[in-house]
Amino acid sequence: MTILDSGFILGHYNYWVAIILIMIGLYTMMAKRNLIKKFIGLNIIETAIFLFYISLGDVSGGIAPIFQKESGETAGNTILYANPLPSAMMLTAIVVALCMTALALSFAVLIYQQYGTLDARKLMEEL
Amino acid sequence: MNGMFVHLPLLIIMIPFAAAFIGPLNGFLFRSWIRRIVLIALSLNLICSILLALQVLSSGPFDYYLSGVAPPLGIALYADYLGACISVLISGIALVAVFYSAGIIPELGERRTFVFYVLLLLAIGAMQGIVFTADIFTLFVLFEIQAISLYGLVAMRGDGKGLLAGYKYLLIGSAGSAMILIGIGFLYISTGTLNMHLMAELLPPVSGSYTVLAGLALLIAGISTKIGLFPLHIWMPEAYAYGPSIFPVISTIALKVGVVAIIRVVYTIFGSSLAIQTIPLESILALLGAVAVIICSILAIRQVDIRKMFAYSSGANIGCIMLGLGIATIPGVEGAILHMITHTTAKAGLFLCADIILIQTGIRYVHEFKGLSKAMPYTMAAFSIAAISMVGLPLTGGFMSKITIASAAIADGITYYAAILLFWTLLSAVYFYRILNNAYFLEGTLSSTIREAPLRILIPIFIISITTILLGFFVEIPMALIRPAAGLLLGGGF
Repeated sequence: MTILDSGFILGHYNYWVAIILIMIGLYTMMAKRNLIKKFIGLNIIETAIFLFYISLGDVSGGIAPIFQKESGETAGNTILYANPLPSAMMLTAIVVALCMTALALSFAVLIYQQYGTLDARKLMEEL
Repeated sequence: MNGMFVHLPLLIIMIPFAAAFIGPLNGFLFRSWIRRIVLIALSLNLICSILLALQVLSSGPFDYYLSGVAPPLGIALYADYLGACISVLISGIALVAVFYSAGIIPELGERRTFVFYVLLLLAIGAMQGIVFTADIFTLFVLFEIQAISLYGLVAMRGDGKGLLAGYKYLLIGSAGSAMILIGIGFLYISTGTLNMHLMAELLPPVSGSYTVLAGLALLIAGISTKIGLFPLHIWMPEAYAYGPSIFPVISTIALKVGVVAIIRVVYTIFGSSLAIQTIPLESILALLGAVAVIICSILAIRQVDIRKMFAYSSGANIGCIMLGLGIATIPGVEGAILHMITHTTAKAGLFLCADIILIQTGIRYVHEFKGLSKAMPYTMAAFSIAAISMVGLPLTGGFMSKITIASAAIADGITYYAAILLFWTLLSAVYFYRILNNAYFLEGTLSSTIREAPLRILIPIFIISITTILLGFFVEIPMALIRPAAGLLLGGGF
């Protein structure tokens, strides 16, 4: 299967969505001059990563990984569960991203109080 | 194995974290006790690190499973020679730095000093975790704890420049963290595990695939933002120049911890894939390192602010360590690990001396150093010893590590890297010569009120200077841990 095959592209659409979102986020980080907008770009990247991980855990035909005693598997009846590990990892990563956002916004508030602007180009001349 | 020793890796990580949480709990009543809490916690930490190093030295590396659950399901810590060695370095240098800093750091005031020490403890705990963890996602989480503490520390003074430096560090560092996270995802889909040792076993069949190569590239690029490898070093000068008192020393340790993470990724996870030559990593790391060495040194010569100069010098030294790792022979890796130790010691001495000089006299530019050796002879003596070690003159630790890396390069047949190291020695001599020449041989117009620092402050500096010199003579003591570490990493015998 080559990389330009339409089946390949459509079959991996979750990865393409993540890659496109990461590119949008990177562009925002580099092109925007407002410090808060730069960080919004980073948040887009992080969200794309969360989507990427959560789509990794999906098993086609699998159900939510909650094990119940009465619905235990019998010989002819195998239950497919989705992989819970990526979602669990993303819970941690979401907390980390939230901390970063809180820290960045509080920095931005203090910087605005000191300099009266959030324009990265003007601020970097101060540094 | 003795029952208590088994738990040492967890203890080493948990002592700083526990102290960081005890601090705020009693801090509302006894805010001035925080420095004592930090000193006690770091002393305990140092004792545990040394005990662990002796234990690893006598009975070899061992795994520690959290809650007793073995790796495919649980999280493991791995106490090996490299981890034990760097752990002693972290707690030792951090202890000296805190011992040096006053009960209330003058530029921060009482309330901020309190927050400063709590963040410092969190950063130290995260660093100890990074050197011991065997789980790559835990590595990411600990990196984030360390990074958030360091961003806070940079901006701790609360003035405009500190905040801007902190924001710059935060943007670059967070982008790096995002890359690390994607890289971990790529390795996870290729192998289905997060444990480094299991990953190393499962990788060789798929190590040529684009997914794994992209994962490796993203991990290296992400960690490079944390260690300030050349094109990604741009946060370092401002953070070092505008961060508070002992922040540069803590950051110097954090850089080395990042290097340990690179070693884990390159040699622990990809070691067996490197052996079958599917990834041309050695040449890439060594090339990046060589470029960093030359360009950062040239940038350092152009600086007039000594803290910015030392920041670029750190960039060059990280390049030297990468060069040693990139040679990928046992002597090369040994030299790189030894350089991590000697550089951290010497750089901590330089930053502490620079901080004393800044507090006592307000001097932070090279041209203001004229005649300073007469006013502050002991501080300048310690400064000179650290500078000599940084340049790499014989009889100091810096010489031993540089000569090890250079001879490894010659033995591996890549003589031009040895030539680059020699040229770098010349370049670093240039910028340290300017300071020492001003201080010792030029008459200055310093005000007569400048006095030598009190003895309490000088003792930690002397400890660091003596360690720097002793490393030049008794290099066999760290090498006892480094030799098996390098042997283990490269998969050979000891």
